[in-house]
Amino acid sequence: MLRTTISVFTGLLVLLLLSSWTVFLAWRSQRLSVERDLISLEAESAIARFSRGGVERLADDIAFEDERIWEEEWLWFAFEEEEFLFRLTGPESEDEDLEEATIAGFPGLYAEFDWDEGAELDHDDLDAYPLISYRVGLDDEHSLLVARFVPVRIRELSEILMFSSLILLVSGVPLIAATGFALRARVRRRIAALSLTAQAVGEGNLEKRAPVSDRQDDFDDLAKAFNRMLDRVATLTRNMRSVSVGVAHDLKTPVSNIDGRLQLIERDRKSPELISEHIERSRGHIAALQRTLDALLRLGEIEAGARRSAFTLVDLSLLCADLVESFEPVLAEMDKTLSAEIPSGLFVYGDPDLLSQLIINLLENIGEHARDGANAWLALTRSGDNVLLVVGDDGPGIAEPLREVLFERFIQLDSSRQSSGNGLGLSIVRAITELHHGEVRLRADTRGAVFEVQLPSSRANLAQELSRRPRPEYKSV
Amino acid sequence: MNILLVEDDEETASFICRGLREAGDAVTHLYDGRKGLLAATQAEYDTLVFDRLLPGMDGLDAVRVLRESHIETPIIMLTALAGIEDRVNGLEAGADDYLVKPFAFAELYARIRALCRRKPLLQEEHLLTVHDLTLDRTTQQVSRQGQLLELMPREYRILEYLMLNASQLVTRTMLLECVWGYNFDPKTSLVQTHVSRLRAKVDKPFDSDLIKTVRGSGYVLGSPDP
Repeated sequence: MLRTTISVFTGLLVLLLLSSWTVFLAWRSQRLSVERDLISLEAESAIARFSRGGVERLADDIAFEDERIWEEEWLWFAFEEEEFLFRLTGPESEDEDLEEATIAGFPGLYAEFDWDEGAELDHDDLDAYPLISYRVGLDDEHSLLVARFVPVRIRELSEILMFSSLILLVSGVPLIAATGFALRARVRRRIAALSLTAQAVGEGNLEKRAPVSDRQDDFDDLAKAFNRMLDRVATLTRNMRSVSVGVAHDLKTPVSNIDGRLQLIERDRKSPELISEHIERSRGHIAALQRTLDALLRLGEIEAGARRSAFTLVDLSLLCADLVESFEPVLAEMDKTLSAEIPSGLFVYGDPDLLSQLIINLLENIGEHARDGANAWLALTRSGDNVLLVVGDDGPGIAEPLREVLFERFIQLDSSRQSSGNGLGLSIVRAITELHHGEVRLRADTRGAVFEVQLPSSRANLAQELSRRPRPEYKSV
Repeated sequence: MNILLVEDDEETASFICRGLREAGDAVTHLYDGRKGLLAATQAEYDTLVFDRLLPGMDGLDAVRVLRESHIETPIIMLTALAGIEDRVNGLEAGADDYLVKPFAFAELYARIRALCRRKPLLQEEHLLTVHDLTLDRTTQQVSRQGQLLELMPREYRILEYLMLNASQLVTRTMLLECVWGYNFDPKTSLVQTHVSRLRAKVDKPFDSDLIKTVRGSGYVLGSPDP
């Protein structure tokens, strides 16, 4: 891949520059500290000489071939031999004309600070070379400036490094730019494909998808993610349409029924028995209305994922056994038998309330849709790292066209919409399963309606959770 | 009973006040959360009924403040917010019960009565007796007219709850919440089925019925009508 090569090349280049500069700077600071030590030693010995013999003695020591004030050309010696430079100044040093105050050494040596790496030299040729200097006060009137040229090796190396960095940048940047430019045409083509798709979807063609090549590069990842998003949008839009119709229907029916009962109350004003009958029926309709609204709100809440914070270790075996005990007589009253196969000790990590509701919805589905005399069952098994919950009946099952849309909102299993269900039960089942990172499906090969809910039960997670709480206890409801 | 109602919705408030007064209870009605909080700290009430969203001060905050100042009067929160989180927040703030609007007056009244009766003394009672029915909470044995009854665990818990609230209306939702722990209403006749099974054991073999159905609301367990 060209792109990979370029990024590797750029990376190596930057790495090389950075590391050589780092090594150089470390080495330089170490060398400079040696220089500083030398200067300090020299300064100390100068102080010693001053205290023993005064200004005159020190000035004589600094003198170059008996001349106290150094000539410009003498500096070449200090430069080539890596010798010290001095400037001893006397009482008049406060004056404007500093050169006059120099007692010994080179008058054109200036420093701003006590320790100064930017000391300056008034010299036609040598003023370009960096100096390190140190100023010592000898007494109230005299002070001495000791300096050295920065060693040649440091200077040379930094110059080499500067030069090679420049070469690398000058040659590398255009190379990168050139290849980038070559790539851009391809990038532009790929982006154009995505943007065409986005435009088509924007214009209302929800079925349009971005092309995915077999290169499996970043663009394909992007296109795939884009397509997944479009799938989701399409489902949501489809859902929303059926939701609006469903909400309208589910609200309208009970409302018009209540209205009808109110009219009957007005008509039957004289008969208290009939009136209480109407009132009771009205309240039944209101209860149905309320259930639909509750279910919708709950669905929204579950889908927003707000409940995951309440997750805990749940003994699914115990929970199922408890539900079967509760619902077996309910189903029996509806002429359906419920049997159960529940091994003990199957745990999942989740919300016990929501898991109860999931199972209740599946059981109620049986109550509503299975034939009279049907056999229903609930089975729990471990399959690998998952717990498999199967809730099913032996007939009549779900018609082929409904299987696809079964879990969407307001899908009625009875086309007549005469049943008491609000078409939200299985949407809630799916929402709860997804909240638990599980999967729910309708088995295809069976006579009746058999739902399989697979819930992850990673043993590592559970073991960790168990060790945190030595005695997991199903919070009995 | 002396009840404080803090509710800003005129219609809801008037329907609650009327119901309570007809039942012979005294009601103080306030609209503002802050004033409600003040009243609750200054006078003795048997039960406080707080709306969740109130002017002046949020009902949830008012309850929290009351509990923090160690006022242990039973509190019922009323709310239009039906979310599970809302319920949890309400109970965590210190409310004893949480009732979602719209509700029937009978539902609210039953809950108020249940809260007032939920005295520690009764909760710790080992032997519950209503008429000729006894329930032993240590051995979990139930007998009527000296005759031992075989109950399923669920039936036992329904009966226990009915007996703890003897002679009071116990609604279906109360049973769902307290016996099953469900905060939603199953479509099926879960409660009805189990209560009728319980009846078959507690009432049917005997000459009088102790469990009476209140149409559209729930059940009352008490001595048979003379």
